[in-house]
Amino acid sequence: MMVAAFAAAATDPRLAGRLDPETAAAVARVVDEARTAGLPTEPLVAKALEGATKHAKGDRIVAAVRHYATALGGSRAALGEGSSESEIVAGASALLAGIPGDTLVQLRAARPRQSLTIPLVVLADLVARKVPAGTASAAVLGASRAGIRDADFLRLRERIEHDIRAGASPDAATLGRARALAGERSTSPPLRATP
Amino acid sequence: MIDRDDHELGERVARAYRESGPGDPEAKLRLLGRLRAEAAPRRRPAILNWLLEPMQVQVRPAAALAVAAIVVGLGVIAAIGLRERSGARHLSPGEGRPIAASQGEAEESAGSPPVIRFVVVAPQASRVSLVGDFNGWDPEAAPMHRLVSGGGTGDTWAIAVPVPRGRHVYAFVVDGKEWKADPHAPLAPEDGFGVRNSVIVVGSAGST
Repeated sequence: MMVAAFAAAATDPRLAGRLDPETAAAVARVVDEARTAGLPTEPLVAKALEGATKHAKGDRIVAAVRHYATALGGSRAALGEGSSESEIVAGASALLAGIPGDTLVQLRAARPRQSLTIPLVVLADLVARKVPAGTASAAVLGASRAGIRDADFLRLRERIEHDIRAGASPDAATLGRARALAGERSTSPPLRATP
Repeated sequence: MIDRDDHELGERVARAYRESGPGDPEAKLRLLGRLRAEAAPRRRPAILNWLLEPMQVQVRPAAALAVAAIVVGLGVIAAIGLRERSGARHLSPGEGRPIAASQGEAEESAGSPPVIRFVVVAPQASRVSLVGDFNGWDPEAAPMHRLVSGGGTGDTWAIAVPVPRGRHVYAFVVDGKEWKADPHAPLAPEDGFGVRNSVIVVGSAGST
């Protein structure tokens, strides 16, 4: 058992150098499974190292890495096999934030040839700021269908953040800014928050 | 002081008078007529004369040293001003607002990952580190430098590091124990360890 543990940990010296042997071996197994499935593995190693730096216990590190690997798989399934690593990682974060997988599918349909990394980053950010997942999804989907550029997505995020800091509720701030954006592009359908 | 032009004029007047003959009542008229007929000599503008004529100036050594010091000081100030515009370390008074890495300055050279400048305000910190998935979350990998602001508070810390293209998460570690997200960057979801990180996306046109 110990020999197998050390053998697995030897696959990535960074894990062996920062984690206890048992945790390193468990993480290495998750990384190997992800590699076999064709998923990005660097984010998983980074997640383990992050936990080590934050002095998390071994079992919590393993759970976080495993959870992340599951999210990476879900993200790739929703966004499509041809998605970039950045998109898959950003999609995994959105799923971990509570965004439904269907939102990712709809995002891909709205932006079939453009990168989804920035919209997904903005989506996860909004949820992290307590915007309800439904409202955040509607806002980002509406903006994507309106064809706004990545820079405009980031500006939308900044404006919503500004409004929240100024005292608006996250939900109202997002709806307000998204409606303003839709008003600028009158060809888009009216924005409604979804539960 | 009689300049050369005046001397020449005087000679012409005298010559004309001699040639017209003394005591001749018509002499004056002829003299005046001849003077008018001659072309007026070209005279340099007075300011040009002042500039071109050598003059002696007396200066106290102390005054000369003071002038030299002022000139050197102006040169240093100009050099600092040029450095500030190029994004170097000194801040003007009132600056120090965190520059989100998502808006960071990116420099890159062919074949190398873009270099991204991270800046954060951390009052009363004695040390600040940048940690992220691009440096193995190692607090020793990227210790930040305290910037000197015009107000002398020194609350702003900065570092420029190469960051590969793609989406990355990062945070700042203050005094080895406090984790701080970048207040001007997108947030990452809760990390599984109870701490918020920030997100930067480094694209083909620099960071976004």
